[in-house]
Amino acid sequence: MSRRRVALAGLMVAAILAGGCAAVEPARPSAQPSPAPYGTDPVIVAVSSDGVVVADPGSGSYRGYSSRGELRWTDREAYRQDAEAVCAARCPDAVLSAPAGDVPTWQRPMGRAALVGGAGKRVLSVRGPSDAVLAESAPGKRGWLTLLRNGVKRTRVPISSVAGLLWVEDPARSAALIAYDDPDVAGADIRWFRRDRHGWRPTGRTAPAAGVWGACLSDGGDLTVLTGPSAGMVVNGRTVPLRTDLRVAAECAAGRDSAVVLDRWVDERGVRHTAVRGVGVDGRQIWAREFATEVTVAADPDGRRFALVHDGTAEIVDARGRTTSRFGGVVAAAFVRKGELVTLDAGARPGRLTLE
Amino acid sequence: MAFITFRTSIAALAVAGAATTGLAALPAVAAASEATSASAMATASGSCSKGGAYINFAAHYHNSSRYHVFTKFSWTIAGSGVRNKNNVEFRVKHDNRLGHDPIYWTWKSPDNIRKGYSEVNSGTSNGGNPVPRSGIRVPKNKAAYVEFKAVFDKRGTDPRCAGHTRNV
Repeated sequence: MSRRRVALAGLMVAAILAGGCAAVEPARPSAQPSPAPYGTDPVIVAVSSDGVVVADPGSGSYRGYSSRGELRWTDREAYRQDAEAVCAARCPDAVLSAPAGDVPTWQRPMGRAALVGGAGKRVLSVRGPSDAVLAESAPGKRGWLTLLRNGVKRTRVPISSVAGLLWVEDPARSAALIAYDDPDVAGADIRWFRRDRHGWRPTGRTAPAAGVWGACLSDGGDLTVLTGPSAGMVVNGRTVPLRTDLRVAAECAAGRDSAVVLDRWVDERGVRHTAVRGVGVDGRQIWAREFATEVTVAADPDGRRFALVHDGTAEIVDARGRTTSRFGGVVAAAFVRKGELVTLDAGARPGRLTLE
Repeated sequence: MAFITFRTSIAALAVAGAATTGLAALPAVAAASEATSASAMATASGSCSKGGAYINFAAHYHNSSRYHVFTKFSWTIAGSGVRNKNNVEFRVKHDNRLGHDPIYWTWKSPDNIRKGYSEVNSGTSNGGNPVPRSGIRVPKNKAAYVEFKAVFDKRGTDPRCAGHTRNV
């Protein structure tokens, strides 16, 4: 394929909307818009060290903030359509893929643009018009992952379906994997990817997706945690069984040196419980914490520290699960680099915590 | 993007044991009665009990940014005189606050639930209808709860009770 044809095969940014010019507003053909099914708390839907994209149920919008907490854009339409948001090269530049065959839009501080080559596709990753990962399938049929690569031929990878497909990246955005949120998916594989100078490429490593409903990837991608009935770890390409006392590893957070898995349930009194377990790279349980509340966990990229967010507080624990500090006014948190947390308060305002 | 960033959810609503205050969006907690026994009583903790028999119930789930996914239901039946042909039934519902609550999933046991601990996992049936292997998915903007009922196998009239978990 020539350079010219490669370029044409990529995404084209159709027009930039500056100052709310509606003339080139991308078509939104979905007949029945559905409200985004977020809960009452704001959610970090995409984040990097450069900025964050927040789903804010309070205002009914996606909001893009710079790393200094400046609001750069707001998109109510994408929120209403339950669009999927991914950071572009630098957050809060983001691409929003609405379901039902719409044209994904590129949301940037100077306006939004339609990604013409992405029509009807889910944009899983995008750094530029010719460096992106797109997923597509016809209803009820298998589909394709298309890796657009700068200056070289694109790569296609078969997928089981687009619905329920997960694209999981490490905090450094240098490694990724695909998995499925349905552990009953038939004949599907988990596949790993890495960045090279052209973009994303498959590593060739695969694992069965059956029995897995989620995954986490440590910085650099050397440690993978798979969650679900067939939960386990993959460490430097080697399968490592999880050895915890949990009935199921339902969710995870992964760092380089250790990871967290957890199980959650609600009891007959309506009390929510979260059982949090720290595990080493050998899969063995290192520490255990029990909470009679709902806890969400973020891993420091080095895996030596975790943020446990519960009851409006971010509780920082070390690699043995011991609490080292607490920060109030936090309902969501994500590490963007070692020792650096992006947080949200109940009003969906982002903050930044630097840990010693 | 780290996967865990999609895992934030409704932590601010979760207050351990806050059965009566500060959670205005929540329905009444538990222990609705279908009494057949005059001596029926609910425990102070709100677990469903009747005629000296009780059931403790738990619904396991995991969260994505948009959904709660229920994947496992477990319970313990105990109490004096309880035998091994109990019935258990549960429904995953969401609280729409406009009358009838839509049902996402119903599971009914045969007449054979033993006393002690039992569970139904996604992909298994434990004698009832199988729970979907992918779990029961409820959008987070729908306040979901699990309603459970038990008919206890005891000598004479079988006592029964019903309750539900608070919304997740």
